[in-house]
Formats: sequence, C-alpha cells, structure tokens
Amino acid sequence: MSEIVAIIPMFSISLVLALSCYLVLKSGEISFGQQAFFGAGAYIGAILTAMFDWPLVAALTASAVAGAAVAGTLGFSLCRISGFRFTLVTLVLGEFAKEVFAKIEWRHVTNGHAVGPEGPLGFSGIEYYYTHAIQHQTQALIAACTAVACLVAVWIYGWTGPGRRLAAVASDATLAASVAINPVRTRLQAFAMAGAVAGLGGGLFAHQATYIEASNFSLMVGVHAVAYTLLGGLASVLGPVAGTAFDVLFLEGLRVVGAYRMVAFGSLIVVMLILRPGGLIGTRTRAAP
Amino acid sequence: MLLTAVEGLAYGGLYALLGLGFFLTYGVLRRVDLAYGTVVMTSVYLGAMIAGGLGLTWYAVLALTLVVGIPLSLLVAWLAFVLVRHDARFSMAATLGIWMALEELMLQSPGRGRGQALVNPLQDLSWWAWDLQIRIDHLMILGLGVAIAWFLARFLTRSRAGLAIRVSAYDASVAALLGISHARMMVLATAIASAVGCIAGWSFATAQSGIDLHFGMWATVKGLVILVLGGTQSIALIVIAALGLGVAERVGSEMIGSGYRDLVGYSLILTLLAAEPFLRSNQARLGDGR
Repeated sequence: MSEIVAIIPMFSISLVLALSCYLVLKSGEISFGQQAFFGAGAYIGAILTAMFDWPLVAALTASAVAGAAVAGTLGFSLCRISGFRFTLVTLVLGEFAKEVFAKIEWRHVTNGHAVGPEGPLGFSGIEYYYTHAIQHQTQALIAACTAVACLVAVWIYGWTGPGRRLAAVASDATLAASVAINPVRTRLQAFAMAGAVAGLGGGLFAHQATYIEASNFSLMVGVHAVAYTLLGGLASVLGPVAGTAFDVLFLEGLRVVGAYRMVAFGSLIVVMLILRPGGLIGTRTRAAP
Repeated sequence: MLLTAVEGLAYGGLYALLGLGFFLTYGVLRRVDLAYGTVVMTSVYLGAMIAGGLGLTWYAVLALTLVVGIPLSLLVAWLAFVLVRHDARFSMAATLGIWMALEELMLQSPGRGRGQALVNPLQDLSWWAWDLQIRIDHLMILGLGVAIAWFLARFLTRSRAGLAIRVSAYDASVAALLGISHARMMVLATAIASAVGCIAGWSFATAQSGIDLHFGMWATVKGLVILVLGGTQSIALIVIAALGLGVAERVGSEMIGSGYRDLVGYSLILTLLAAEPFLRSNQARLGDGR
C-alpha cells in the first residue's frame, strides 16, 4: 500500500507534464521546452509557500498562472514559427531556463529561518506538507486530483471551439486561415494552456520533492514527457495516460527491467514507432458531435 | 580580452565540427537526428574506456571512436530513418528513444557513467604571439574545423560522390534514373557525418583530458544551434556562425562572469530566433517544411 501511495504523486506529476506536451503536439508541433514552464511553476509555487506562507491552493494557482504567463509571452514569437525550427527554439528555451534557475538567489527570513533559492545549491526547505502535517495519503490524493483535473480540462478543451480550431490549424494552417481561423492566436491559446498545465505540475512537484534545483528541469525531463505522449498516442487524452503509466507504473513501479529501465523505454519507443506509430491507444479518433 | 576571443575561436572550431555533422544530416540528408551527440559521446566514451583498459596510446582512441561511431550511426539511421517511415517527426522521436537507451547503456557500462580520462599530448605546449599565450591543442581544433569544412565543401560540390549524395537526398527517383544507388549514398553521407562528429568529440575530449555523459546532450544542442544560426545553404556560413558563437560566448562570459557562458550563448540564440519571425523575409528558411 505504501508503495502505491509513493508512486501516485510521481505518476500524477509526470502525467501533468505529459498532458502539457500533448497540447503542443495537438497543435502539430513538438516542444522539448515544457520543462521551462514546469520549472517556473515549481519555483513560483515554492517561493510563495516557503517564503511568504501562502496557502497551497493559492500557490499552485500562481504556479499555473506563471506557467501560462511565461508561455503566453514567449508564444507571441514561438507560435509564428513551425516545424524543426519550433522544436529547436523550445529546446534552447529549456536549456536557457535551466541556466536561469541555477542563477536564482533570493533568501527570505520566514519563521526565524532563511529560506529561498540559493542558485546552483538549489532551493531546500519547501516543507509545506510537513509543517501542515499533511499525510502521505493526502499528498497522493492532492496529486491525483490535480492530474485528473488537468486531464478533464484538456479533454474538454479538445471539444470546445478553440480545441477544434487547433485541430484545424494542426491539420492545415493555410486552409484554416482561409475560413477565418487565426492560426497564430489559436496556437498561442493552446501554448499558454500547455504552459499553465506544466506550471501547475511544477508547483506540485516542488511541494512533493521539498527540494528543487536546476537539474530537475533538464532537457531530459521534457524529452521524457514528449516520449510518454508519443508512446501512448495522440488520438485522445488517454494517450499520455497510457504512455506515462507504462513507464512510471510498469517499468519504474514494478522494476521489471531493473536498472535498464531507460534502455527498455527508449527501445520501446523505437519499436512502437516502427510497428505501431499511432501509439498504445491507436490513431482512431471519434468525430466530434 | 583578446586571449579570450582566441580561446573562443578554438571553441568555435569545435562548434564548427559539430555544426558540419548536423549540416550533413539535416541540410543534405534532411534528417533530424537528435541522437547524433549521444552517438558521438558513446563512441568517444567507449573508445577511451577500451583504450584505457588495454593501455593503448592516445591516438588509438580516435581509431576506436571511429570504429564504434560509424557502425553505430548507421544502425541509428537504419532504425530511425529507414524502418520508421511514416512521418519525419516520428523519425525524430525515434532518435530520442535511441538517445535515452544509449545514455543508460553507458551508465550501466563497466565505466558506470563516470568520466573517462584521455591523454592530451599537447596539454603543456603553447605558442606565444604578441604577449598572448595560445594553447597548441586549441589551435589544432580550430585548424581541424576549418580544414574539414573546406574538405566537405569541396567534396559536396566538386566530387562525383558528393554530387550523387546531393541528388539522391533531393530526389531518390531522379537519382535512380541516373543510376545512383540512393541507399548507398545515404550510407556514405551518414558515415561521413558520423566521422566528422567522432573527430569533433575526440578532439574536444582530448583537449579537455576527459569525457563524461553530459557531452552528448551538450553536443546535440550546440550542433543544432549552429545549424540554425548558419542555415543549410552554405558550409562557410556554418563555420562563420560557429566561430562567432564561440567568440561571443567566451567574450560575454569574460565580461559578466564565467558561470554565465552558456546563459550568454542561449540568450543570444533565443534573441535571434525569437526576433526572426518578425524580421522574416520571403526567402525560404530552415524548418518551414517538415
């Protein structure tokens, strides 16, 4: 039971980041920089609870807003480019953000202790769960509820007007523009939402981990999130769920391949792309009502 | 400051070698190989580990690196670009999977992911010019970058094999009508790109007296950035972009602190790339097609 409680937050946080990548992938692009928004959310959320005694819900909301704000601001330029160049800019953005996180130094005395990010030494003392005596089961529940909320939000988004316009833009931006859909604005909305989801996941991660540092937001984190989505498939929001579950629950949770988890996961991605490019869930999509 | 700029040129030489490898894979073959840096790292890492274990001399590492690197690159190309054929993005994603698997394999290798030492025979040799002490190994990297760029440019534009590669990459059916084997040309180009990357990785690791697992991701990021800055039309522009980035990073970090070198580089690149859509002309550019 304790193992399940321990793995739920890990699964939930990974799923939230994968959903962020899923939104970008649904716009027809691949982003390797969602960890930048994840990190921004983590630092903002941690600063607000550890340094300024904000309640968790308010801090997580601020994390999501920070993620959306950063993504929305950068999106003005990013959503005007596409293809390989978009992927590359997001990759550089992720590395840039990691360097920035390693430079953040801000100490603040709270309850008689100096807390805050210490540059390359990281940010320790994010002890909201412990100071408020929140049990492990409750922590797992918070993480699971957040992931489910994100899942539902992304699913609903796909059925709303902006979601359908996004599908049209991803399919053919020129054709979409010919029927009065603004491709840049549509992609910007999706990118900002993806930033909000990643920021929320980051806020959750910071409080779960109690300590964060720049290396937590490396390129490999973003690459994993993209891989989860591609492994599961893009046909529905269940794709990221399946991809994340396969890695976190099956390979990591059950440790079926021991220390060779990443070898198995990486090889599986290649095999899936060769044999079943639609992912675990498949490629069939249901027509919107 | 002048010495810093000269050191930046040496880094620029290395960046040029990495950029040339990506120029061949993306600019000529139209392939986005994100495992390129990791394959180079794996080859140099294994080369250094084997040479260290057998007590071989320093230049044997290069031979071992090439022996490992070229077949490994061909295997990656076959898996990601021949067997995965549905979408260029899927091929790119397949290289991601290979990247993850290779890094983990190096962690589980007898080296356990620890840094591997390389002997640098030129470590203590310097050349003095106008009160500037310039390391010979840094000059060698710069010279190597420029020489390989010149050779590649000549090869692609003047040799029959180079022209055949370009025709084959542009249109396989036209190549077939001309009696050119598309598969053979792809293998040749992949092998050359791999060899250039292996030389880059080996020369850098030798100048640094060692290599660790971080090199793979670093090389991929830098190589792609050079490709974007230099474009896919000219090898000369790749070299200029690489040298410019090397100098800008070094001089920038000298001015605001050594811990800011990568931050300076990424800031420059992001500024250029972010401003580019607003400055875009009607010319076709890298990345507009998939």
